[in-house]
Amino acid sequence: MTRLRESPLRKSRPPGRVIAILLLAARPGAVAVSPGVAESGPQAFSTATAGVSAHVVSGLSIRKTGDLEVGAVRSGSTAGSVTISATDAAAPLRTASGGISLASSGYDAARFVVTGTSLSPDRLQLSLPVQVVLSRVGGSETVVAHDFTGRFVGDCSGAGCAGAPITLLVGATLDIGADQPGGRYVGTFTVTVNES
Amino acid sequence: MIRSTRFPLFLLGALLLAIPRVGAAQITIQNTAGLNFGSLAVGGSAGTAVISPAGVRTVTGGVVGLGSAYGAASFTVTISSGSATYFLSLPTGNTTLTGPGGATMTASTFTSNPSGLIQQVPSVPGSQTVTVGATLNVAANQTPGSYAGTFTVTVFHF
Repeated sequence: MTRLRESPLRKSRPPGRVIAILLLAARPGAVAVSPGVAESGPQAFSTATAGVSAHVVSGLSIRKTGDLEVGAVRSGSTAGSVTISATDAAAPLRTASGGISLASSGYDAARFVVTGTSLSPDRLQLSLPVQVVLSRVGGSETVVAHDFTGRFVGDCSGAGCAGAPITLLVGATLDIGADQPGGRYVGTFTVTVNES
Repeated sequence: MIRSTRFPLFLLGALLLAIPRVGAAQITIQNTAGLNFGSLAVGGSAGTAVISPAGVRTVTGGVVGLGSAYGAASFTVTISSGSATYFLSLPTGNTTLTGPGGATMTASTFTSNPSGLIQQVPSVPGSQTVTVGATLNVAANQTPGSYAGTFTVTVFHF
């Protein structure tokens, strides 16, 4: 008889233990809303997509096809200058100022040919020297060229011209002193072309 | 009587646990500028172009950088509530850029400023700017033209 009474009592206890276990399991959820607890897992995430881009040009090349030739000028008792302009007309212009007068001779802007497969003239950027010193052949006298100007001349324009060779014309102004000794004056300059 | 009072307590706990998971986003990231490597000339040898998170471009190998139109990507991370700390996840693999005629290049080694996985906004609510750079791998005689692709940055808030 005593065994029969004990067994019903034992059966009634386990449900109470089960409830206690469930309460423990629920507590971490209540803790999750209090600030500063990091164990509750990710609460939010966000993504953003960005574009990535590049523009590739083939190796650009520039080749000189003609020198900047100022030609023959006469110096005078006052200083002056002579300018080869490549920016205006189809053919370069030569003008003199001050005590300098033009002598009959040939003259020309420097000429370069720019090649590269994706070229279009409006994407080219030109870097020219600030000034260049020319020395007299067989002497030590100098004159200074400055105010270099350049112009790209494409054989065509528009989208269909990408890849066509482009001609670059470069001019400058040469300062000549009073009674500058006669002779041939030479110097060199460098131009740089970038495609943007 | 004991069972009837404890059982509702359990339900309350479960509801509180669920609320943060389905609530409005506490963190957002927005893209404000793309990653642009700019114009690059390449000849017969391969090379790379690197854009730093500060937007500085350096080139290696047969690649020559042209022009000045290039820059790092920029994102704005905003946290509306909760902790100021978040995790920043950059692409770990390669991103493909596609160009003329299906030609491709890859961008890899994504870097950010501030760098690192664990980040922090100055205050909550508040936001922070994150800039991202990468390395572009350019092949020898890479097909000339414009290339484009995308990459994704993810932020996690705890």
